[in-house]
Amino acid sequence: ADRDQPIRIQANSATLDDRSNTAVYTGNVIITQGSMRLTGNRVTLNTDAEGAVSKIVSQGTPATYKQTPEGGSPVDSRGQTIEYLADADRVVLIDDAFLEQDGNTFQGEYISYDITREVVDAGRANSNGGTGGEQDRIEILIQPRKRSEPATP
Amino acid sequence: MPTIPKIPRYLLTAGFIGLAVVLGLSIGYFNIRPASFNDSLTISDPNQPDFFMENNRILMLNEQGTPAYELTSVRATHQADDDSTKLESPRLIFYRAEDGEPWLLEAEHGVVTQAGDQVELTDNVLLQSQNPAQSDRRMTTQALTLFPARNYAETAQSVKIENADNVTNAVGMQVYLNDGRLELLSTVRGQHEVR
Repeated sequence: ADRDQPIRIQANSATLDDRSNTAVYTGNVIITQGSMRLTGNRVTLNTDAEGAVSKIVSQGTPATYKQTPEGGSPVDSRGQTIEYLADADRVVLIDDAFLEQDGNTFQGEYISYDITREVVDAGRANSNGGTGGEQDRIEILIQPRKRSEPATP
Repeated sequence: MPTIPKIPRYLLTAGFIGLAVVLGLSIGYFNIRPASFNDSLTISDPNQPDFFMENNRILMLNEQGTPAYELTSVRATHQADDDSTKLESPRLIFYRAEDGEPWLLEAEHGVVTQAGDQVELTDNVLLQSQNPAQSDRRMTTQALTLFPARNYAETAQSVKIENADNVTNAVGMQVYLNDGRLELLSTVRGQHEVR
């Protein structure tokens, strides 16, 4: 699975901080792990004491997250901020979040995607940063399945 | 045997005296003296070292009198003209101001200048933090300049940083030795193995 592949990072410059186990990469940052591809202008990578990656926060205009798990449906998403949580195997898209999978699209201020189950399992307005007024609702667009097309597993 | 024509005696003595006078004058004039025959070998080559040490150990203290760095090398040659010291396979333990583990620096060659305020290391330079808690981080490059008083080192060369099973390559690096922060200046390529 993607999770067991090495994580490769490309960037223009970086700041590695010994004490806090964080590395901040700046300048068209591209992070890949197997089929997963995360991009952004500024990416903060947190590692645990042993040096294993625990969390990646990518900020961009927009930051993008793509993944095509084998046998699974490819995911293409973007947002101002994208958080990848290694242990939870989850990706959270924040601000102008957009995720597209099998023609279904999710749009809103906050989208949480479970990578292992390949499912968007949470989406809501940003309670603290909401644009006020009418509550922002997540907009989900599910493509109607054509009669001839078999149900995807 | 042909007899020497009879030279009158007074001519002979006058000749001798004249010769002696000429000889005396020429000694004075050409400054001929015993020393001028064995010309001593004085090299006036500018970068002539004035002293060198072998297997030396230099402990450099900072203003507070605590050790700033300890420098050992197979051979250290001091140059009189620019007060620089050339080092053969220098090995430097750099102490961080507050606690924190010291840094180890090694290289094939080094030059200490500005009375110890600048140490240039070249050829297979290794910079390693001796942090037992976290598996130590190794940095290798071909040249690194250390400014002990500023707790800072930098290189414009390509550098490789290994830490546990993560490898990062970059070109140009600035190291803030006290707080253990690295600035990688360009073309950063990292790889984190996943256990």
